[in-house]
Amino acid sequence: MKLSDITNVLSFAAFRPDSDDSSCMWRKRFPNKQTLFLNFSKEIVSWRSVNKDGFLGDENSIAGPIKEVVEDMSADWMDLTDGGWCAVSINHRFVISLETNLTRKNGASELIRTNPKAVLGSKSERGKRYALKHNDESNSSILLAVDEDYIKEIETLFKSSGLNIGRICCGIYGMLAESLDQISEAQKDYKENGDEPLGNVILVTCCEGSVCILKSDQEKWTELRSRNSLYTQEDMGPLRKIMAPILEDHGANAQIVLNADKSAEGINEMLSELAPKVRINDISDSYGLWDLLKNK
Amino acid sequence: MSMITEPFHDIKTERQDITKPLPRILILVPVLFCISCVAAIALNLLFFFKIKESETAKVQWKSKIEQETSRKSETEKEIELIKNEDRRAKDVFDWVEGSRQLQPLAVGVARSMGVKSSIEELSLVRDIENPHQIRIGLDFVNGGQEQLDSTLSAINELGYRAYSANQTSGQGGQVDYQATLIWQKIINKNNNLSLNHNE
Repeated sequence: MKLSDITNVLSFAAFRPDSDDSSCMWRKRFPNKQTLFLNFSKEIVSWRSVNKDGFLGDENSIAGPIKEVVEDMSADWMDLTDGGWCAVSINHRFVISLETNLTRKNGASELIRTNPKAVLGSKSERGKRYALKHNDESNSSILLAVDEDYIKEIETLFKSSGLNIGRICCGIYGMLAESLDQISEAQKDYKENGDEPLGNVILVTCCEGSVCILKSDQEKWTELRSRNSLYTQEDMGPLRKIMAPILEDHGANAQIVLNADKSAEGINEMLSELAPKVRINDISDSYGLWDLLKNK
Repeated sequence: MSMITEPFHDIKTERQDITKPLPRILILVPVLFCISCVAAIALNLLFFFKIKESETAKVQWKSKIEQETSRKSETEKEIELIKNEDRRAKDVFDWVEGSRQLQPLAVGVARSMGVKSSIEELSLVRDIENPHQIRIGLDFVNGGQEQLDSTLSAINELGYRAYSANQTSGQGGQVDYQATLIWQKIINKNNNLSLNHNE
């Protein structure tokens, strides 16, 4: 037993989760500490600080590649944190795909981080980091794959600037998973109350220029399309192009669930134009991704 | 909001030395340690102040003991003085008690003389050191031994007893008697009288 173990017990630090412990909520890892959330794509970096009371600060953003922005802003970001701890949301160099018949053994979500081959089998690729979201009602799963080199590059970049990364996640994947959880909860409520089922749901998620569209038939996920760094606020054309074919062949009782950040302003109108008869259920929140990073 | 408590995905490079937090129940260990530390500090402070208090009290008591000891020695000195005074007073009392008046003795001796006898010389000398001792010298003529016994009886009745008597008889019925008379207290007699009176 080391002396530090004893001091950690006596200072109650041993009863708090480690700052790097990804299995714990962010707030529990950093109680009464300032931290920083960063969300970036290929061309833009936005951030928000969290004060000691857990309240989010104002959102700021700078256009430019992540490397240059980190080098320029690291000193300012250090002032916004205690110990330089930050959570990073990336929306670049990722692939979100729909998979079927993946193993659902206990601990598979944890295992995929350390040994993806054990979970994905032949679908696993070297040099990728994965995250998995299962559909509780069918055998389909949503798989996130991010280039390992890109993650390591980001880790090295932040470390060299004195910043500590407590979490690296994919913002759009997080928003997608959260939206699916909300839909699942809503479906359960509908069933319990004896209401009609939700029907076909087209979930559109937009985050910092990336988009992910998941089409479901009742509770089964049938089609998924995702693109990163697809659109900008000035040029929403690519977004329209990718959404149009999916929205064309929607079912009779379909509804669109939209969860988008402010980078996709005007998407609601675009969806109304593309599918005028379809009900749009907008669950977007300006704090959406930031609240997820803070509360999960 | 979602009710699912699944941890948020994290794809950063996993650190190998991360340990899970200890169970919450074990928080009792540092809590008890802190409480015992605080209690130890509090008790130490309490004992420290109590020791200081007792030391102050000890010093006060020591000075009080010294005061009382000096008072005791002063009182003992006073008692010794009083005892000396008492002793002297007793001596004076004894002296006064012993220094009986000589007149009754002289009168007793004179009255004890018979018709035919006559005193030629009577001396009564009180010893300064022992006032209860009186040196008597009696010269008388006629009467002889009978007269001397009568005189000694009269002296005895006055409470004196003769010691170291020296008697010489001369021509013509002269008797020279010398003795030391010592006063005998007649306590019993007085007590008897007081007792009789009480009865």
